[in-house]
Amino acid sequence: MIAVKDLLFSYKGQNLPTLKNISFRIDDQEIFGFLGPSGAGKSTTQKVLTGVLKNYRGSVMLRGREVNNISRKFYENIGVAFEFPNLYLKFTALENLELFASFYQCEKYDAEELLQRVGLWEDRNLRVEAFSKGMRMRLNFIRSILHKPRLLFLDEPTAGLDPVNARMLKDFILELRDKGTTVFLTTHNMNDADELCDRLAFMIEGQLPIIDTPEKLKLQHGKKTVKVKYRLNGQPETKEFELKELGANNEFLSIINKAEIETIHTQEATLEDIFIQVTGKQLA
Amino acid sequence: MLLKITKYDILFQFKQGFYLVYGILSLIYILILFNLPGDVRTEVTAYLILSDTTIIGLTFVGALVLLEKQQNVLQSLFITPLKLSTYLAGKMLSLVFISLIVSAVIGFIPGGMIGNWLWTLVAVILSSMFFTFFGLGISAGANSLNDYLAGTILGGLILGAPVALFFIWPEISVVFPVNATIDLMITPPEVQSVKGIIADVSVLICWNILGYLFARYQFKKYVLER
Repeated sequence: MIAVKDLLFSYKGQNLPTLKNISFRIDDQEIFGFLGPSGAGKSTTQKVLTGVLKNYRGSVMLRGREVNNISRKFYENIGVAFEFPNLYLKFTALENLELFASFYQCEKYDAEELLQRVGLWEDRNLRVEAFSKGMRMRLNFIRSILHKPRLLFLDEPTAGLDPVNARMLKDFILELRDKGTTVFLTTHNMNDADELCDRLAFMIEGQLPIIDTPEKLKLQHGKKTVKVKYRLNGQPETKEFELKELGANNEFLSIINKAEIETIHTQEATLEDIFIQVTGKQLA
Repeated sequence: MLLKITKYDILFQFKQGFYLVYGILSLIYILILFNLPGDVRTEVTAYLILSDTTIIGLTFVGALVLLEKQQNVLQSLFITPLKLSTYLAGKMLSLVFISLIVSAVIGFIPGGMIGNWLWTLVAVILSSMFFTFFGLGISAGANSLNDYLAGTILGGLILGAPVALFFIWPEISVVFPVNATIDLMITPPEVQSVKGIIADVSVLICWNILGYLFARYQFKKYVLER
């Protein structure tokens, strides 16, 4: 679906390139996460992939075509939801969807069905200026998928959403993936990345030092131990054990059998730990 | 797609209150014209129609694009199959539409227009188109109303200079859009020559081509490839 090779991009008037020979591949029906701190080059990458920035070096193939040569018609296949909702504030939710729907010739979702799906049906005739941040985000999301795009770019899709709506949106994204959509997800949110992404890329200073699945990353970078919190004779205690041959560890077995166990957790690394470990930078 | 985007541009202008402002301005114009003696009414009507398509049109097209920039919608519009030419044409048609209505109202009701209505209509359409393209070009590069006003004042001085030039060097002044528009509007039908009409219309068409290319260049540079 997307094949990027040795992508180098510099903004006019800048000596150093923003993207430094990055290469990656995104397969059909994959959710590919792009993680990195502000200014790392995530938005620039998205702009190159969506054909907004054209003066790049290297190769960027989208569905077999070089991005530099795509026509406006190609945008029938692409959906983009930016981090900050881009909506006509004086228009109602329905008017916003109808306007954007009019740009596409392809088969589309029914706008009213989408509004119902994300819980905005009751507010469909309300001007967007009266919407909360969360409502705007949900409208922004359905506007980006209105034309059933094969390739979807999402930037922080759950920002500003309450946990219930964030869950609903994540389930929707997974459902789209299962129906055949490829998703390029840019986020700071490690939980979203962990839950949604089939593979992740860490971007730092215009480079991609790591691309892998969340599971492999957590296994590679985590400690292979289990931490047990328990009470023995009323006293709180904590102990950590190697996972290797845990079943033959007498001390661990004794605690399990005799103590009052409060919590027991394996100590795999979080994505945030791995990011800091690999890049030496905090995600912010 | 063009009709749809024009419809939504008109709706956008209506919801942003542009039509209310136009309505109030038209009412003021009509009151002024009714209180003028018949012999100056024709010229004043022509200048008011011209100011409607130039100054007011320019202000409104700038506000329109700046509001779209402020609401960040331009970014989303141009990652759809919408062509830049369709976007520019939609803005142009929606503003020509309102200019025509206002021109008809202030031209007809006080009865000040004595020129040929067909050529007045052509003049309004062509000058409104040009000033819309010009305003679109300036607004593409502007980030604030101050930027926009600075750009339009500078452009207005260049484009408006021929009004003064008209008295010094009339032969040259006719190649500027303002004079061609006025000429088409106020020349009485019995005096209007085919040659003169062709010259005025050709001048306005040339300015429209330049205006469109300017708007297109500016949007590509400051909006699409940013």
